[in-house]
Amino acid sequence: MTARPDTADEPPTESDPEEVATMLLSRVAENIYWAGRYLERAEATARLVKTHTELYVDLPLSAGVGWAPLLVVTGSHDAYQAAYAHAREDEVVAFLVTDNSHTGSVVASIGQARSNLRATRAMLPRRTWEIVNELHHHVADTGHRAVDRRTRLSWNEDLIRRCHLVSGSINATMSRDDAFSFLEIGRMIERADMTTRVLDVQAGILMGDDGHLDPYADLTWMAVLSSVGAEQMFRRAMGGAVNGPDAVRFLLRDTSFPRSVEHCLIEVSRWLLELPHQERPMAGCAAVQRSLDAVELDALDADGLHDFVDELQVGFAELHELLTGTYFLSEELAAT
Amino acid sequence: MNTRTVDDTVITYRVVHRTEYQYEAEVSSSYGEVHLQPRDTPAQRCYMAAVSIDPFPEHSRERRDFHGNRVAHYAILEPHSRLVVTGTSEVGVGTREDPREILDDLPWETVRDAVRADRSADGVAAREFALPSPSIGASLAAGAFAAQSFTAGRPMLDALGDLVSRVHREFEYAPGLTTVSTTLEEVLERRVGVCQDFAHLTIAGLRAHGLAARYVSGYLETDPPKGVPRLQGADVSHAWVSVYLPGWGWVDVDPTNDQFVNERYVTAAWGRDYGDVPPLKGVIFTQGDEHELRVTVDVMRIDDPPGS
Amino acid sequence: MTTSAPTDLAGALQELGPDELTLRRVEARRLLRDDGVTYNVTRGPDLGTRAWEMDPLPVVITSDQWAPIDDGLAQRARVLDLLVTDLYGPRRLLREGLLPPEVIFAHPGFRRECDQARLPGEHQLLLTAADVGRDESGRHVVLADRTQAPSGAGYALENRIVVSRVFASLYRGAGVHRLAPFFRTLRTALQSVVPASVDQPRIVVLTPGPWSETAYEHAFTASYLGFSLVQGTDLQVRDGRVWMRTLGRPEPVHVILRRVDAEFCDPLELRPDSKLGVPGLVEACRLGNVSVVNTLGSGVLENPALLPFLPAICDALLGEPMRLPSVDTWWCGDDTSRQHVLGQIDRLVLKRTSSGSGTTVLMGAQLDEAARDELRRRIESEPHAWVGQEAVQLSSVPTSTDAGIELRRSVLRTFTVADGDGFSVLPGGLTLVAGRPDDQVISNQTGAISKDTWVLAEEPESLADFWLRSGPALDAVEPEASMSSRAAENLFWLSRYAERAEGLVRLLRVVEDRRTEFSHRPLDGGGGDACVAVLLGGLAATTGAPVVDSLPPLVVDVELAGSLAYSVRRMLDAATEVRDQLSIDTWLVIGGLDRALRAPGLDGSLDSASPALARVMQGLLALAGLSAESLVRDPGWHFLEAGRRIERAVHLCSLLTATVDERRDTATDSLVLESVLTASESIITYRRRYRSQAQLQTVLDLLLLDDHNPRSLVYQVERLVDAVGNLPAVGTSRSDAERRALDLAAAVHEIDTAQLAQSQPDRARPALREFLAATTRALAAIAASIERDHFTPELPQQAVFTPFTPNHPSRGVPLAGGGA
Repeated sequence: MTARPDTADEPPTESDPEEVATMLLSRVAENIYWAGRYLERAEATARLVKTHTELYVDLPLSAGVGWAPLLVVTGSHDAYQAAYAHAREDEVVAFLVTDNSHTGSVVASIGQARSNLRATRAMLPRRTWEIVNELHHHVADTGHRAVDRRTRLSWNEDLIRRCHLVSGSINATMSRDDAFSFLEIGRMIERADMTTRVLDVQAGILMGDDGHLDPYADLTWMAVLSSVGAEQMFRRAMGGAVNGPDAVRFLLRDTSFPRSVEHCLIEVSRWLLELPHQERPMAGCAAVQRSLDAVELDALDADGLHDFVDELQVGFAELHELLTGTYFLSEELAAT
Repeated sequence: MNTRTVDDTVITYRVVHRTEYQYEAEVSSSYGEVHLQPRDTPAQRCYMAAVSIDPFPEHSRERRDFHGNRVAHYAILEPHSRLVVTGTSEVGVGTREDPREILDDLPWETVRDAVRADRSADGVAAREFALPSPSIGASLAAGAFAAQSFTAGRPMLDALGDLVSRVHREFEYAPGLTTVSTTLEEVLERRVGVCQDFAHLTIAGLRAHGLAARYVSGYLETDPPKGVPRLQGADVSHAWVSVYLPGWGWVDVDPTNDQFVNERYVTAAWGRDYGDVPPLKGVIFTQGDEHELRVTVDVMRIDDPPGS
Repeated sequence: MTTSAPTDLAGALQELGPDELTLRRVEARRLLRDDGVTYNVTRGPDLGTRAWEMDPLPVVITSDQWAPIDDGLAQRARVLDLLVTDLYGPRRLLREGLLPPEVIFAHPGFRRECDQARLPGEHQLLLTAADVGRDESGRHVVLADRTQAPSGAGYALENRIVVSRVFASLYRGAGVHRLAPFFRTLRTALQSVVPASVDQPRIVVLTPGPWSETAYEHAFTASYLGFSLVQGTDLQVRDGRVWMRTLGRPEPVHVILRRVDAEFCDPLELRPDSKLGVPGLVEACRLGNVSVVNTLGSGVLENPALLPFLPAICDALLGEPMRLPSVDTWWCGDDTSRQHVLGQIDRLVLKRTSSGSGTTVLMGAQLDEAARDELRRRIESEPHAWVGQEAVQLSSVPTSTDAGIELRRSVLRTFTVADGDGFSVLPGGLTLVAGRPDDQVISNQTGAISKDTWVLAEEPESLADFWLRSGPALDAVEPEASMSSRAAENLFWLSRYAERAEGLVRLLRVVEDRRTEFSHRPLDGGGGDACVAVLLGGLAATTGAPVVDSLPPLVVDVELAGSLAYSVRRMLDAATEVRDQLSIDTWLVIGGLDRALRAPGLDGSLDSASPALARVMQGLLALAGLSAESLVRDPGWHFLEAGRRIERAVHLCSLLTATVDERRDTATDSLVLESVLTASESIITYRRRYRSQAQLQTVLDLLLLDDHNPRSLVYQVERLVDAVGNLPAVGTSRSDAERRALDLAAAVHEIDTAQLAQSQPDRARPALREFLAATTRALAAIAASIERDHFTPELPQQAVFTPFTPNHPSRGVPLAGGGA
């Protein structure tokens, strides 16, 4: 055989194809699951920063849009307050994008995704690993451009494109084995989580809070949609005009849109099916799906949406716990 | 104004104008417009006019076009390889007043100036026909040709008659040598053409002199040569020229036959030029690019018109 | 001036300094490039698509300066609206002598076919544009009106998006009027002309196609307003109504916002040679079954010969004086005016008003004496068709260029839209500046540069401006109903070409790796040369292109069918056709692909091509990622998916046929199999599974039968079964494509790789060869079924005329009583 640097560091093991699936170490499974979540989080955060910057630029000063909502959406408000006094634009963006000490930042997420995948790189197509590795070096080298408002949009857009490249590479080349299942489950849970957070923060606007007509409501709606990459798809599916309940329904329940919560949950259950011992996490996933199906979206007001999103997020957290208990705590999957 | 009604109808004609397309390859859909139903004019009344289309169209409707002609629109949306459009009409034609009795020695320049000054509804509408049109562009050559007839101060009808006679005399009637796209310059150069070319040439010459002239499409009753029985379908559609004389109305002349139009002519439609009133035009969708076309026209006198 | 804001703003812009300004220009260019904003030059030597030229330095106008323009243009639009209503109605203005009939009758924009046809509602004119200039005295004058299918509003919006990013802080602080409300009003205006008794109106944007000048804008506008973008061939008139050929059943269309000039809109009644229109459209308009916006007759208002008569018309129609003047214009059909024009010909601009499409423009000052004499003759012979206009010395605005800030002459194109019983003016618009410092004519076709125009708001905009006027939301439409079958066909081919390109890149890289490897070790192992030869055969088989010893043409030769550049180019063409269906993210990736292959330094050597290959590969992967992650699973997606799966499966079959259908010596076979695995991105999986040198049977297991391997045949076939099962229904039972896909899936599941791998004494593997050939045939049949069922190619369109009396028998005999 000719050069094969990609497998050089891998200890030789057994090679029965039927058994590989059950031989995945729980450490490996957890690594890959988290890699999926980190990759998704990096992309989602970049998208949020980009969208919020566009919205900020698009609205006049009088609209009073600040940077704190970004912290709320990303769930990093407390961590930020521990380090900074005010939600200043450059500090918030730096915190969310380049701050390596903040585990939720884009740079830190990619770094963690990379180190997780490095530990398990034998599971990945070589190109995919290379692309993630390149991505890591790229953000480390160019992160400073992410904060300056002049280069911020292009940097974040480029990052999103590179994330597409990662997912394209995974989809096109990675074997549909257990590793793939964990990666997908991680990404889908993270994605669903992020979509619900965005909805939560903007619920007031989306549901037309107490009859008060926010002058910039439709701009904000569009921003909500585009912050989860849904703007154009929504326009196409809904024929142009935006309104809150439609947007909420699209983001939560439109099964044809691959970033909707419903779609994410379907994907989670689909990949769970490929795994052994999936009964308990599957039940957890089904529970979230049931509450999603049961709620009457049209009847929700802002508070109702807020409560419902809370319920979903509790469901995601429980699902995560079930996954941890089932797969990640034991020594080997085969042994559980 | 000439407001003659056709109470004094002298002849009633039955006109059958049949157009058949045989297509090389199947046609998936076909849209068309036909000018086959004669309009009423001061000198004629159309008693009956019908257009039949085979295959039966999915949509068809008759309306009046901008110039008041009757036009039928059709759409056929089933595959077919043959299309037959037949216009059948019965038209009573009366004698026309002779403008010479009134306008005998009016100089043509006076007529021209009157055209530009005419504020009557008809006069405003007529000014359209003094302008170049899509198929009869401004032509210096046609203007120069007509100028030999339109000498300074010459009476209008005299000059018009002379122009028509010169077209008849100097041009050879030769079917098949010209097409819809032949230009006036080519006709002038080659001195050949058919009635459409002669009508266009005459119109261009008149318009170059500031006169309003329109293109008339219709039919002419013809006599078979002596001793030969009249053949069905041997007649033709025809075209001639109508000139606006303010205060009097429109007078029709036929350069192809060098005469004023009389009761042997049936008017179908008029417009700025041939392009406004082709008997049939259409758009088809087909793989093939060949088709066979057969057109027959019958102009027959009938003794017992309806409504007479 | 009431505020010093513009001075501050100008000062702030000046303070940026040249270096900073250059940076912002670069940033603006990048943003435009990434959004794929283009303009197609359709005339002159520089034919082709080029990037939209924009100088990010905005033109700033105070609200005081803007007020008279706003007021004047709104009034002007009302006058034009009433004028066009009269011209296709009673024509009172002609009879009353306010307008010479020749001005109307001689203009090609006067469409007799549309006489008496009316849009429902108050307005016959919904959207107008005016080119406004400022002369030496500082007076604003209207240079021309655009009333057919005004272009530029979409570009103005795109410019705004870019400039507001590039000058984010300045923009935010300056209180600039937004453009979005204008588009919302346009939406409302279009909804207001929906024919009566329609519950679920469908509005479409009619484009001449992706190669028209402003194609980018058509797609942008359609997408922004949420309407389908259609070409003439996507529409059909049936029963006097307009229908859109969609993937499902034909859907009725009620309003058409046209970007096609009127004469091209209906080959039956307008231009017979037009392939951009819909036969029967005029009839459908006359019947009131569809509203075309602006009306097909509205082009008559673009006639510059109208300008001298507008003040009197305004007075007659509105009972008020015209508040914004037009450029001084003399119509030569009037004797006095003609004398003026002929006398001043050396300093006027001469325009022929009735040239078929567009307007002939001559600058008297630039003609020599002989040319002027010739022009005088032309005017005398056709006076009604000419106007003379004052040559306005347009004011200049600071423009950032490669040479720094220069003053360039400028003109503002702005827009009005019907709003209630009046018109609203776009606050701002597209400022065009001359492409060169001394240019007199400013036109996109001759290299003009565009700028954003900032109109400063006196006070913060009111709620109403943002929100209250947005129209009623349209009901969501079924996805099948909003996608034309042309769009579906292009999506299908988009992914086929993308996949074809991807397969080729993978294979090229393997070939090149092998070559490099063995050129350094000519004596090592053996089998290397043979392996390379086999792989070259694989290249030939998968591309269908003749493979010579040098590979570069296979990468960069855009004329060579099967080459990478060819596939990428085809893919771009397909993408361009369906631009409105693609998200900006997708477009970013696709645009990058094109640039990768057109990058400088591609001199034809494979060394120079290799970075391009890497970039193309990245782009293709990103596209695959987008498709999987971000696109709605609507019918369009299933077409993408079907195309991708068919192409990938075909590629695999061809590659296997060309490489492993006969047995070679062990060394060669081993290298070949490993290369095939690498080219199929399956080498890692293989090694992890089998831990051995590649053997054919296990390779076939992985590449044909492993349903976990996303590159295996069975994986493609199963996805294909899903995709064709999700295509819009054809009839009530399973479609032919679906049946064939299921049959193929069954056949693939039944194969026995041990048997396929067996070779005959003559080294051939007939079973494998036959299986691959049969699979390839089945895939082709599935593709053919999809095309037949969903892509309804319209047959070529032809115009027919009855030629004049073709069988004229003989010249009529002159009759007695003939005249003169």
